[in-house]
This record gives sequence, C-alpha cells and structure tokens, in this order.
Amino acid sequence: MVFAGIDIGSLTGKALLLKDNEIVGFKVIRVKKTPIETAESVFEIVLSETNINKEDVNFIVSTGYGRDNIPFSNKSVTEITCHGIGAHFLLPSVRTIIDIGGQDCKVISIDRTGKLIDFGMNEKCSAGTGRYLEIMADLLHLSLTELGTISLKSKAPINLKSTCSIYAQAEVLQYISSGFKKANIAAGINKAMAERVFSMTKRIKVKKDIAISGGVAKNIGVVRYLEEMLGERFLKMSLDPQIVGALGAAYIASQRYKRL
Amino acid sequence: MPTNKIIPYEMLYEALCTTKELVEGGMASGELLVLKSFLKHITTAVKKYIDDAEQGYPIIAHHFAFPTEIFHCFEFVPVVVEGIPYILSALLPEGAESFYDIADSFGHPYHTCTSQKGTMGMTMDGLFHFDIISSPTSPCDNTVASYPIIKEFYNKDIPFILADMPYYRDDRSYKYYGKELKITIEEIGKKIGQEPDYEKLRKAVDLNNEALKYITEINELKKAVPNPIESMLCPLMTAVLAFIPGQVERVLFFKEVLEIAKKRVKNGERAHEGEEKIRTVWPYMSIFFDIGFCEWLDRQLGMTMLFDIFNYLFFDPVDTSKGVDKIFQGLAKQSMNYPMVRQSATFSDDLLDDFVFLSKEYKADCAIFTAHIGCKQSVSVIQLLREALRDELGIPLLSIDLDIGDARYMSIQTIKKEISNFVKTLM
Amino acid sequence: MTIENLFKSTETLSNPYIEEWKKQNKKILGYYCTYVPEEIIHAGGLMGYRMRGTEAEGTSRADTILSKFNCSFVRATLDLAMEGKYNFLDGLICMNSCDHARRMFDIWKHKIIGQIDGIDNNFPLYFLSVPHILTDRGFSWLKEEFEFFKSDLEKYFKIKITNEDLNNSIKVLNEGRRILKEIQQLRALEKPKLNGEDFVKINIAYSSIPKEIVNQELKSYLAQLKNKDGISDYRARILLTGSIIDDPEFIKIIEDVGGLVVSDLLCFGLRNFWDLTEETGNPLDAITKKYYYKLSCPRMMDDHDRRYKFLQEQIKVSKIDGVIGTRIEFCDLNGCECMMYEHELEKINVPMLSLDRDYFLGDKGRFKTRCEAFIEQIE
Repeated sequence: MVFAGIDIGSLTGKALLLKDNEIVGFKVIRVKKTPIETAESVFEIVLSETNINKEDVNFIVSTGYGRDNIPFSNKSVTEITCHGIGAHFLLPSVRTIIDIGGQDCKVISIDRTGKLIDFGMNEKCSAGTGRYLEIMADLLHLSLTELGTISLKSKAPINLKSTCSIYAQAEVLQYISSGFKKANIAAGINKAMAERVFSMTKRIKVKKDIAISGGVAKNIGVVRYLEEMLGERFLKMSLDPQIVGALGAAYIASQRYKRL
Repeated sequence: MPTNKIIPYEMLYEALCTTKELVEGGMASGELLVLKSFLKHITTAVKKYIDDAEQGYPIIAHHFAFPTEIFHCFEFVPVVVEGIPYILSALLPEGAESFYDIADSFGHPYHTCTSQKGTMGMTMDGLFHFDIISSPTSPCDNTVASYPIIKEFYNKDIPFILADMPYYRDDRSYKYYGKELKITIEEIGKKIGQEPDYEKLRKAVDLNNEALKYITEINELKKAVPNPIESMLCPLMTAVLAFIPGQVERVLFFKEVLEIAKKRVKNGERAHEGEEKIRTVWPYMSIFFDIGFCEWLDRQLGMTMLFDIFNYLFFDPVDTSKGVDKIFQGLAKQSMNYPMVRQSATFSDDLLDDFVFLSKEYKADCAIFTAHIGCKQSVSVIQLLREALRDELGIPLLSIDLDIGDARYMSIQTIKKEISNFVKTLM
Repeated sequence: MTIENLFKSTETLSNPYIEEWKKQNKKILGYYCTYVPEEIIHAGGLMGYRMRGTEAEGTSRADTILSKFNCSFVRATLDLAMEGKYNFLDGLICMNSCDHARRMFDIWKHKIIGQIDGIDNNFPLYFLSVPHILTDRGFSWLKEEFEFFKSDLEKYFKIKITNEDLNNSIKVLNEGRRILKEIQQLRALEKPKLNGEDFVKINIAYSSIPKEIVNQELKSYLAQLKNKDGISDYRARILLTGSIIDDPEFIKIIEDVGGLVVSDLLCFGLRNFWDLTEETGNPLDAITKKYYYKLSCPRMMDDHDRRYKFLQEQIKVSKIDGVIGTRIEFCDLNGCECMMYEHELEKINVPMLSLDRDYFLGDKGRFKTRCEAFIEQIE
C-alpha cells in the first residue's frame, strides 16, 4: 500500500510517499505559478525518484495553503492537523510542535495519539515568521542558515526594541552602519524572533516533549533561544523539518484508506 | 489569611528612592527643581501606603477617574489601577512590559490599554492582594472590559463595587452620579467593616481645594513667554493627581512648584538654559515609558509642553460647607469634569473647546496628539480637533501612533524623529 | 413576497421594502445598538434601521477622519455614510454602547450632517445614555431617558405617541421575537432546519424591513421550515459569539468546512430577540425593563456571569461541539469577553476557538484554515 501526502505552501511544495508505514521518498520544490502546477510537479518528481506509479498510490491527502486546489487529491486536511500527526509519527513522545514557516507561525498541541487538542497561529503581521528572518538575512547578506550559525559566536546580542518588522529593519540598518559585529546583530535578530514565537506559545500551554518544524527550524540561533525560553530542548527530527506536514498528510491518507 | 500585598508599590518606592538619591545627589542645586519636589512628596506618600498596608488596612484598588478623595472617609490604602504600570514604566529600567505580556499570554487582546493591563498582569502574577475593586463605568471600553477580568482572574468573590457614570454633563447627571458615589462609599464601608467618616472626607476635599488654588495660579503663570515651568511638570502632575489625592503632600508639592514658577517669571526665565523656541499643547497624555522625554523636549528642541490632558483642571473647588450630600454632588461634578474623563466620557465638544481655548490663551504654536493604541475613543476625535485648531487658530496638529506605556510599539527614537521633523516644518 | 426576496434584500444597504416605505413618505431612523427601544420608534409610525457595513468596499474615506485604531466595522459604516449611501435615513440614534460607535454622534454632527447630499442641517441626531450596570437607580435613569427620547421624537416629527400606541408596538415587536425564537429552536434540533448563514440573513432582514411586513414573511418562513428536511451533513455543531457579524459570507466560510452554526451569542442574533417585552402594566415601564435587563452585551460591566450562564445553557440545548469567538481588531469589549469565555469553557471541557479578525474578510484562506483545523480538532 502506498499513500501520498502533498503539502503546498506559499513558498515551497512538498510531497512524501509512505509504503507499509515507512517513508520511501520525499521532495521539496519551490512553488510554480499555481498550486496545481506545484502539486503535479512535486508529485511526479517524487514518484519518478521512487519508481512508483501514480496508479499504485491508494490515497492522497493534500494540505497547506493550496490544499483545496488539487483535483487529484482524495481529501484535504489543514496543515495544522497534519503537522501534529507528522511530528507524532517521527517522535511519538512529542506533545507540542512549533512550526515556523515562511508566512505563518503555529503552535500545535497534540495528545498521545497525535490528535490535535489546541493550536495557535500568529496574527497578520510577519514578525514571528520566516519572512522576518529572510528580510533580516538579506540586510546582512547572509543565508538563512548562516544567520543562525554566525549568531552562535555572539557574546553580546543587540537589543532590537521594535516589535514591528518594518521598524526593526530600520534599527538593524542603524546597527550595521554603526559597525556592530554581524554575529551580534544576527543574535539580536534571532532573539527577537524567538521572543515573538515564545509569546505565542504562552497561550497554548506547552507540554513536553517539544519539537520544532518548518524552514526556520534550520536557524540554530532561533532554536537555541527558544529552548532557553521554554526551558526545554527540542527533540531532534530525523527528517528535514520542512517535510513534516506532508508526512502527516500521508499518514492520515493511510488511516482514511483503512476506514473506507 | 493572606496578608495585604502591595509589592508593586514597594517596587515603586525603591525606584523612587533611587531616583531621588540620584537627582538630589547628582544634580546641581538649581536643576530639576520640580522633579526634586515631586520625588520628595510622592516618596513620603508611597511609604505611608506601604506602612498602612503592612498594618492590615484594607486595600482599595480603584480607577484613577474616581475622585479618589472620596475613599478618604476610610482608613485604607489606595491602589490606583491605571497609575501604577505607567509610573513603573517610567522609573524601572526594564519598564512594565513584562506585566502587559502576562495579561496578553492569558488571551487579553494586544491592543487594550496597557494602563489597566499592567495592573492586571501584576495581579495575575500574585504581586497585589486587594480587598475591594471599585470603578466608575466610564471613561472607556477598556474600563468596562478589563475590570471584570481583574476580578475574574484574581478573586471571583472580591467585592466589585461600581458607580454608573452617565454620558451627559448636566445637573440631572451630576445628581445621579453624586448618589452613585455615596452608595459606593456606603457599600465599601459595609464590606470593610468601617463607618464612613465624613469629617475625614471633608478634610481631604479641603486639602484638594487648597491644592487646586495653587494649580490655578501655576496655570496662570504658564501664560508667560517663556513658560517658567519645565515640561516635566505635565507627567509629574498626572502622577500627583493619581497617587496623592486628599493629602497634605499634594498641597506642599503644588505650593513649591508655584514658588519656583513665581521666581522664574519675575526674572523672565524658563527652567532651562537656551531659548524657548516652540510652545505646544498635548491634547492627550505625555509619554510615560521614557523618563527623560520631557527634558529632551525642553533641552534639545526648546519645546515647552504647556499642558497635557491632565494639567488644566476645568472644575471649581468643591463646596464643603453645606453638608455631606452637597460634597458628594460637588465631587460628582468634579470627577465628571476630571482631566481625561471630561474629554473622554462624553461628547467631544469639551475636548475640542478645551484645547482650542488652551492653545489660544497660552499662545501655542502647535499641538501634538499621542494617539494611544489603547484609547479608542480619543483617537476617534483627532481629526476633528486637528480641523478645529486649523480653522480657528491656524495651528497644526501632529498625531503619533504609539503606546504610552510600552516602549516596544513605537520606539522612542522614532517618536523623537517624528517630533523633530514636525518642528523643522514649523520653523 | 417570498423568502428569496427577503434574503436578497440583505445583500444591499437599502432594499425595496425601504424604498416602498419612503414612497409613502414615512421616516427611517438608523441606530447602532440593540439597546435602542424599537417599540418607541415603531409607536411613532417610524421605522428603525440597524446600521451595517453591507456594500462597504473599504474605509479609505472614513480613514481620513477616524484612526487606524478604530473598529473596522464602525469605519465601514462611516465610509458608507460619507459616500452618501446612508442618505435614505431620516435620523440617527447613537448611544454609549462602545467607544467606536458612540463617537459616530460627534462625527456625524461635525462631518456628515449638512455636508452629505441628502443629509441636511435639520437631520436629527439622537443620543441615549444607557447605564452600564444593573441597579434600581439605573432603571429609573433609563426610563427617564426613554421618556425624553419619546418626547424628542414627538416634537421633531410632530407626532403623538400614546400608551395605546406603545402597547400595540409591544405586541408587534413581540410577535417578531416569538417567531425568531421558534426559528432558533429549529436550529437546536439534531437535524437543524436552517444553517447559520440563513439565520443571520433573517436577523439582518428583521432589522432592516418594516416590522409588520417582516413579521408576516418570517411567519410563513417558519411554517416552511417546519416541513423541511433538516441538515445532516455537518462535521460539528458550532456556537458563534464575539464582535458584530453582519456578513453572511463570513458564516458561510465556517459552514463550508463543516462547522454548522446552530446557535450564537451575537447582536445580529439571539441577543436581539431573546427577551420579550411585558404586555401588561405601564408600557414605558415594560419597555425599559426589557431593554435594561435583557440578555446583555459586554457593555454591561457587571453582567458577565449571566451571559456566561446563557452561553452554557445554549451549549447544552443546542448540543454544541465547539464555540467560535471572533474578535474584531480593536474591539475591547468582545475581545475581553471572549478571553473570559476561553478560560471558563476550558474548565468545563468545551473547545473554543478565538479568532482575531478585521471586519473585512481580507485573508479568507487563513481564516478558513483556522476554522477547519478547529473542526478537525473537535469532530
């Protein structure tokens, strides 16, 4: 039995295949012009890379921002539920997942079966999302990962006062032009980001074990600061944290199929 | 039996003492006179509150809009809900932001007024122990929405005594509200087991009347060019009105300020060196989270803050010679015309008339309106005021979106930049 | 006159019933809040019209007067007024309901009256000061307010409102309320006879069509509904509360993901019709009693416990799976009320989703995702 999960976000499209409850293939691509194109493309790539035919896939669940526009999916489920299930699949002891994507930041609380019991999402502004870090990384001419690694060298992170990312940018430019070390600026940025995410977690009642997923999970600086604030270490995911949603979707596909 | 807890006031006292030491020891004798006087008197008052709380006097958490002197018919400790977060935001190096965040983490909307949210956070954090919570039903939605939460999350059974304030300002309303105040006092008395001592009340109101005399004289002197009083008096007076009602320290403070002002006017001086370049009226509050802000205005920009919403008192002394009911009616009238209540809790005509009047009388060059995110009703009338000032006096109004007590919403650097740019366009 | 016409009338600000009313030279008074005494308006031969943001495309006009910190619903209504869309009104009644709505009195006075086509300098602007707590003194105050209001109407419109008129109006208003309550009961069934989208349309129609006409319509609609097959393909039963909702589109989003809205604690909803006016005794007493002591909105500072009790009852009666509370940005009253419900409902294991939103449904996708995730959580 093969099941597929397809996660179409705003920046990337992901596909994952489960066969006999094992992950046999996954792929991440940048989005195409439309969600359908992205879905078709990433699905085809992962099928060809695993030598599996489309007809052999028994059930497909789509998730993410573009989940309703996929005609070949059998069911659509929100990325919130999928992230919970996906994290649980990888790490059965996890009860809280923080997912920081390009445009969204979610805190997901699950029970011991992976079922969603509570969640929170950031409000309309970008200050607690990957977008914020992208903008800041650009200002420092760093990649997103470098923004994390360089900050580990910092012993004196700058204190970014503004909550709004527009004003924060102005502050960062000021620090750059004043000659502050990149490491310290990066650390300040990561700390501010972690603070925003942390304040979101307070409404959800974080229970251990905790896990982090999404593109921002690759920023070691943000991860470390969050661990400090939460007083807990994140369990390590054995997979690319970007793929958790698609994994959850594929698992849900397998459960749905059983019920048919 | 939980003992009375008033930990934020202890934090305040410590901060006041430190600031007092720094100012008195570190500043030359002729500097920051008004601040020195303020620190002297408020420190005395706050110490007394702490001592009284330790003695077990009932703590009445109340809205600043109450004519707080009414509680003086009891032996009690006042906690002025809206005052404490803002004075702490000024004096503590870390400000009061952590308390707002506590309330937010419980789900409080991010845009509500930090003045009440701060005390809410302190209460949720176990720093306060009140015996009574009392408030009018005005001047704003935040009051109506936040006070029940303070009660709900603190102690569902705490006596929650409210006085209904009508929307109008006529005799019918003053009479109604006067009765509300009297009933409030009677109910509180029952809950704390004290008979209201109306003689004590009369004395407190008399002291306030005396302070009012000095305030009125100080305000007259502000007409002088240059303004003999430092801009800092504006936020300090707010604190005095909130924290020291009906007490001798209030009288002493304003008396001293008046002396300082008289001396300067005689010599045609302002509080600082250099010229007075620009005279402004602030139709809302000054900025509390940055303690050096008003000094910056005076020193760097030569800008004098003639009035903010708390410094011109549009009411008469209360007649204490005709018995208790008349005192309550007088207090009702006074409290419904109290700074900020007068402009907030009724139609906008008073706000418009008051600030056109002040700008004219005091020869203001411009107005600066702090559009506080928590205060939905005041930001609704900024444009009306802008047009009134433009049409009647030809002076401009600058509006700045910010949070009066939270340094993170709009940073002080950005605020200063906006004001500097605005001033440049006027010169 | 069919139910389709009734529903269609809710898609626009004015409607054919209003046009017909005006053709007869009859008058319409706009009002913002459910504490305004409709009986008195009706008794004067006038029509009451609840202010809405229908047809508003944005707030660019209103933003030149109001601040970005003001409620987007109120800004939308102001925008419509500035566009001239509200010039079918013959008067406006404001009250101290919330900070944003009460300022409409000041803004209409300075910026609308005599400055917008169709709203000349004689346009009457009324204000009601309603107490924020429930006391005997407050009752007397409010009764007086209603008496002043009545005589102000009499003076301006040159009419006389007698006790008989009031008694008649009480009966007419109560008839509508009774019908709406019966319709609500049909939503509480295991197979609800109508969905939340249609229910809010009914409430909007009820607030924007002359009472005698809308009562008739609703009566026949009620009969229709009783014979209808109920809705069975839903994933969860939802109670909706929070800030004002006057847009059926909004509820459709929740229902499209399987959350059938079967009850509410809203002002274009149960709060508007739940309490009847007594039909005996002095009519002004009865009217004051109904409006003062009715199922309240969060503007009533000492009444949260009673509202929460009602919420719990509705959860039981309508077999609610989850509560969705929407908080329009800058709405302090409902923002805090929903916060309290969140904590209270958690204690009794009723799932609640708190959604912060703008009046305009900007990001439908995100809104849908949250609702859908909530449904996935509770189904």
